[in-house]
Amino acid sequence: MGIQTVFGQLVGVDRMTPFEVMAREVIPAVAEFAPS
Amino acid sequence: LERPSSDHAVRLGLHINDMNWRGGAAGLRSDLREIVQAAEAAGFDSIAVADHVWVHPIMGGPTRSHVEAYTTLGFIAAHTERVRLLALATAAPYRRAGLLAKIVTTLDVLSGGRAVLGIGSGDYAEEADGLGLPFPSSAGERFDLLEETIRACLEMWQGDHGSDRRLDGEHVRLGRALNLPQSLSRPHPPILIAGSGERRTLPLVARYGDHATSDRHPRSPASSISCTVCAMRRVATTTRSRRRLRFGTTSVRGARTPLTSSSSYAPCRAWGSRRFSASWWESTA
Repeated sequence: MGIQTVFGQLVGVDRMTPFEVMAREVIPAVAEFAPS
Repeated sequence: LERPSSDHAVRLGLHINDMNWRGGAAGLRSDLREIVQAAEAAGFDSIAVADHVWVHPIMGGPTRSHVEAYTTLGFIAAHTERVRLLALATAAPYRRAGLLAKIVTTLDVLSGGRAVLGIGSGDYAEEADGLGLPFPSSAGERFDLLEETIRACLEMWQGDHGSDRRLDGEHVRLGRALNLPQSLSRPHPPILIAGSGERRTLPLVARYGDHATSDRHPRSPASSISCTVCAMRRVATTTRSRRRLRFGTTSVRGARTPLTSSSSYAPCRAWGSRRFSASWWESTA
């Protein structure tokens, strides 16, 4: 039983910058992180 | 924003539980549209909204603005194409079970099969009292209502038009479980049960849940996810061998938790380091 999905809140979500960071850095990192 | 490939081993969901944005009420429509479309383009797998009528005290309290969950999810459905949609989590007492099944079915049909029923027993008595919403004072009664509500939804999602049966529960009554149109998601929209209690919530997950959420285990704050996962494994093993538990979740409250400091959760650490408040974690069987 490993981690499959992470739900989170984004601070400053209405400024769009968090989505750019998520798309550029976090989501690609998550994509390489296989469930344990 | 480029959309990453869709075959992620680990997926991200965006939980929107505060819409007090700069544009105010007049700008909410355009702000929300831009946000959910950006989230989808960024690669989020799902979008969740809180099911409250007042802002929860942990998010600033009732004098802040809050919109109704399923109306909002319908709006999000109309402005997205791929993300899964859920209330995190529907307060079971607030809507009659038959109507809730129709609401989630409608969301599923109009979104092209993207609805998830996220549901829990409810935890905000003040808002319920304030707006006159049903909210049994006994936690045990709320859990009984939660279970009967889930059973009623499953009756409504049976076959191509519901079970057509009568359901007489202590708290929920359906004279005829007829549901047309039927949900596009088959055998039914996934069911996510919120909560962490071993006595009531986890057995409900074991019996009915496809997904689960839970907060940090109150008696084992240093081993939140392992404790929760172990408990769910135990329940699933003992009471639910016929169903495959798809994932459980737990929550963390900031970047300095055992989870985010663990090298095993590097992406989540990256999330925390960017000051994004990671709050829900899900795991799969």
